[in-house]
Amino acid sequence: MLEAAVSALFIVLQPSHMAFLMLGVAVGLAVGVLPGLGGLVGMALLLPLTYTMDPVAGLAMLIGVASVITTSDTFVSVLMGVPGSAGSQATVVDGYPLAQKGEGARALSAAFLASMVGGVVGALALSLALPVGREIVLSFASPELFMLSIMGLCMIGVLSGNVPLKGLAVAALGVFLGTWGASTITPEYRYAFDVDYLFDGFHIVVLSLGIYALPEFLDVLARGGAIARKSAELGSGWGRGLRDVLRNKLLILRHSLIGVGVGIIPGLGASIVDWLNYAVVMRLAKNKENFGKGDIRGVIAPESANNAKEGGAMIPTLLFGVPGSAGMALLLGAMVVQGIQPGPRMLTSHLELVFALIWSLAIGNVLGTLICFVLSRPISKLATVPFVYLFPWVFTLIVIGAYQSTRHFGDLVALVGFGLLGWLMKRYGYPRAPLLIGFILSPLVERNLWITVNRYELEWLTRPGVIAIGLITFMLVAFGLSRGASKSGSAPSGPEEQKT
Amino acid sequence: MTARRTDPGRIVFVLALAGVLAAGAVLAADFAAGSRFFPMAVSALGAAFCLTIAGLLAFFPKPEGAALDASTESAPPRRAALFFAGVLIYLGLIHAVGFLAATVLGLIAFLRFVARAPSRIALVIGALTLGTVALLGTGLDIHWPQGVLLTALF
Repeated sequence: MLEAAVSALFIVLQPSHMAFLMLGVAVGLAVGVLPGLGGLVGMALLLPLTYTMDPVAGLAMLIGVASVITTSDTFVSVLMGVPGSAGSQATVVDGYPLAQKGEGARALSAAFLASMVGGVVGALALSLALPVGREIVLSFASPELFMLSIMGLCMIGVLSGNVPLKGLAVAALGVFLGTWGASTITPEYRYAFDVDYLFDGFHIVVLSLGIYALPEFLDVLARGGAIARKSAELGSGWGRGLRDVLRNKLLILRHSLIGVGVGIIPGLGASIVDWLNYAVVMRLAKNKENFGKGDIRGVIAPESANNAKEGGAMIPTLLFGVPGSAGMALLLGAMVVQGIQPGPRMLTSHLELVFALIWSLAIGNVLGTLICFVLSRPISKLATVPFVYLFPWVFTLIVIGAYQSTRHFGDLVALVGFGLLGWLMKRYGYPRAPLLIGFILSPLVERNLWITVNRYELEWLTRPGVIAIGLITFMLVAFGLSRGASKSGSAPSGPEEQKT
Repeated sequence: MTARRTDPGRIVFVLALAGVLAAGAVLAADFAAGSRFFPMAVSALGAAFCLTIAGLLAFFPKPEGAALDASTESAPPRRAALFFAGVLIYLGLIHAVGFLAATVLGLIAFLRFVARAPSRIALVIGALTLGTVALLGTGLDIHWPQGVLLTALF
């Protein structure tokens, strides 16, 4: 294993791979600064480029995007008081008051360094999980893998929205859409309706750009003006931020580990990790009166956790083939297109690739932090550019990205159709991540079910692993449904009150 | 607490989803034995979830929150209708006159009527966008859709 790790490091450090990692980091930084666009849009835009690339370089580029979004989204959260992404909402609570006191640079410096440490801890946790996970995952056969996929889907469905039934319905819709096109079981086209575009089913890039990018563009355009309405000064305190980090190193480690833990559980997204860590740091702090008024711990804790989450989310993705988030689902999609099957085989035939991804995650975080420090002024100005000026360029990129999927006019029609679906889902409070993850997992679940039933008939239901995973799934769904029933009475209502 | 009336759009949307999924289950019955069960089971289950949601919305209208992955406020329906109409017109243009011509026309229309950008900025945005199109087209060896009108003419 150590040999594979060292060999992977040398592969990642090759200039061509570093260039693609840098490109991913640059795109991640740019989309992180522009609220509403988000990392998924950045990853989906780069996804078609990876198809013809060397797998390590292509996947490293996508990891580069994922690793830095929660670093650069801090700019707008701290300087403009607008959450850069769902994962930086809690950062606004203390980051923005610090900027208003003229200590924006201090908040940013502490946030960048905490993010970097969090990201590296996430990568470390992922590499430490491999030897342990390897033993477990290699003992799994298709029945256990099938049940794990079901558990992942249920968790994502139940945990990614305020109404678990909606998440489950959307996950089922995603799995259903994944069955369109050529069947993997029998030589047959399903739901093709004699339309040649549908013979291969929908493409992951078109789906992800449609349900995420178009609704976000529409919403930012409808809001009008610049992404952040006012320009803010960076202020002073770069060195003080560094000292804050050194003074709170144990706090950073604690919240990084919480971030990893949250990332491992499919469905607990960026917004949960952010608020959960803010709540924990407040609860455990001795001196609480400055929280909400510009306490640096309120910036450090969520920022370290939301970067560490990515490492945690890669654990179920790489080991079990169950993506921990929508971003990881795209990574999984890229792997499948490259002919790499995530899951147990990753740890036998693609161990070097696994370590290359871990190195890319760690290096991406360090690079992202360095770039944020060096280019803090121009990056912070990017959010003040009116979106109507950026829209034509970004929209054209989206159209090219979608068309590049299969180079069929149907890609563009499907893009608009999924865009409308995404907007309706967003408007009516349906989480979109379960749709994407269900779509990605659909062929995997169907194949594992087919092998399971044909190999074991009904005997598979008596396997201890299947029973254990089934019980956990049942308890999670029951817990989620009861939580949803008790929460819905007090939750904010309607699209007008959606959090911004 | 006073019970609020549920937005009818919510029920229509979830019923439409249920309809699509139920149609999927029915159509799956015609597939070959090996590939029938999975789509049928999944779509039937999804339709059942959607119908339950519709029932809950209709009979127990309770306030509910946004999805956790929504980071911005949803645009009002009128804006959304205009946006998607604009995108559909752009697609129609691509189908008629090809990708490059449609993009130039779309760009001019957007910058003139929506962005109301000063001519200097419009020029920069236009050059940037078309430059990107040309660069990606060459780099990725993409053959853009030609358009039925241009194909018929030339």
